[in-house]
Amino acid sequence: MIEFRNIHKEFVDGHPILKGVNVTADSGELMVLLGNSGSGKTTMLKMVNKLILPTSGSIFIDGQDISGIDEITLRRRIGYVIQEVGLFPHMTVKENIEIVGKIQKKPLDEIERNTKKVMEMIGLDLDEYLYRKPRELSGGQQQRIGVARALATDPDILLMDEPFSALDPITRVQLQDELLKIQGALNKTILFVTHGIIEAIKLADRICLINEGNIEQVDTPKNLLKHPSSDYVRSFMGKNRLFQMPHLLLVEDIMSTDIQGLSLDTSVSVRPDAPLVDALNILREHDLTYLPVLNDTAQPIGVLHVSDLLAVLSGQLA
Amino acid sequence: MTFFEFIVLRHEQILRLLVEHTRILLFALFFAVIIGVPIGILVSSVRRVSSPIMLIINGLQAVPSLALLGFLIPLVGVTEQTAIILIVIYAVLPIVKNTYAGILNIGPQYIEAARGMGMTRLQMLRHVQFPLALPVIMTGVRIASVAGVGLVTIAAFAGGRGLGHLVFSGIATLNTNMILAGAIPAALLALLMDFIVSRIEKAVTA
Ligand SMILES: Nc1ncnc2c1ncn2[C@@H]1O[C@H](COP(=O)(O)OP(=O)(O)OP(=O)(O)O)[C@@H](O)[C@H]1O
Ligand SMILES: [Mg+2]
Repeated sequence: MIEFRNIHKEFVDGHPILKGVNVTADSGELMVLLGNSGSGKTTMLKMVNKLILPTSGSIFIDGQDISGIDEITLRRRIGYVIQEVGLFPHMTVKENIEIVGKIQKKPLDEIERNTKKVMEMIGLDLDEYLYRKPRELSGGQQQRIGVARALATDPDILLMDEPFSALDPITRVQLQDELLKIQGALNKTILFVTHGIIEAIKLADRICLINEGNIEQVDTPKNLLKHPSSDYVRSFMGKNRLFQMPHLLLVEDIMSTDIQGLSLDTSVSVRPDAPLVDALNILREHDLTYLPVLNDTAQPIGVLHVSDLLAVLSGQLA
Repeated sequence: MTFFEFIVLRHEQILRLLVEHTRILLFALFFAVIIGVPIGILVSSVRRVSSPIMLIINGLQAVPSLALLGFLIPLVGVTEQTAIILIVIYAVLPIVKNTYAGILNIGPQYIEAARGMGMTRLQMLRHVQFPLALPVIMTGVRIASVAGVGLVTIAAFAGGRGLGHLVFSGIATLNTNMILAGAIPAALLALLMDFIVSRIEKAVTA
């Protein structure tokens, strides 16, 4: 758990950059810090591993104020991934990953075991890549190693500052997918900085939207889209964006709950938490015009009409 | 007597002086490196001392070597040490400068990654800054070694027994062959040093 408590930051010129930030990322949560360029995302992130110190306010990790933790000790508990990757060019992939354990004087066999583990996690073949130099890797492979290095000593927390922003769109999507897979298996507490709304929506458990040093809203991607707390949030997230991303919508979001008096044939049905795309496939497959929605106990709780579904998928319902 | 005949006649002496010359050079370079690199590191990591030290270094470099020799001889006497001190002083300068520049010009992303993973300053120096600055430091060593060959020649004035001995004796006796017998091997030695150190430079470039 990472808690920002009333964080203010001014750099030397006295201009306020963060203006009283309060937010908590829960354990196991992937929280995206989202905002325009210069809004203060990086500044916030770097406070967690003390690369930047707050002017006032405190940061707590698992309830402990980090101002009382030695910065070296703190950083060794936190994985850090940056846009520029920063793999050391004079070291092989193996050395780049293992340097993290070496500076902490971990036992060598443990270090080597972890190297194998993280290489598997990021999906790079050991024999092929372990002894390459960073310049012999593509941008996507380099950042995979960047992630592997951050995971090398199995820290509870990952800080990621626009890690995929410099990659081409296809590679970016691949690395996003892999991050989600890794997170699904490891449940780290992750702070992920981006100014990409689509990336934020895809990755975040919750998004913390920052505007010129103030937090506008902290909520799930869907709630940010459905229930923006201010005009700023609404315009930032973009009108209708939810409906441009049907994969985010679930059956329960558009089903009709008005089922009183309907006699439903429940031989083919769908769950409320199924993605709309899945429902569409079922409808097509069975050539139906509506689908009953059944809950855990197989009770009908709604009905999904194909007309509503098609309207949403073609963006008209917004 | 032709130049060739002169060489054949004096080859033993020329060879001996060349070995002496190289020995003095390597000895001085060794000291220049173990003095220059730490100073360069210090200058790059402690901002407060960087401008005064760089000022002294640049100032020293502007002093003509013969003038400096003039200062040193009354202090240390006409011995081999005087020659070595002179060469070390001049060889230290490019090494300090390049160590300083090499460390300062390391990509900020490497420094950030190193700090972010929790390296101490010493670990950062050892694992990141020094190895990444090493090619630039070696360029400094190369400059120092080439200049050093010439300095050993001049230092023959002050008790060094290198090829400068032939050059100065040649000048004194108006013997062109003798001057050349000192100057040509010295030039070849400079080229050889340049070649060897540039090889090392390439080898340590990431
Ligand atoms: N060391 C510094 N000294 C002075 N001002 C700084 C410093 N670092 C950042 N700033 C200023 O603080 C503000 C926020 O910077 P920050 O790097 O946190 O933005 P960001 O949200 O990460 O933006 P981007 O998306 O462009 O990376 C900017 O206006 C920036 O100019
Ligand atoms: Mg930033």
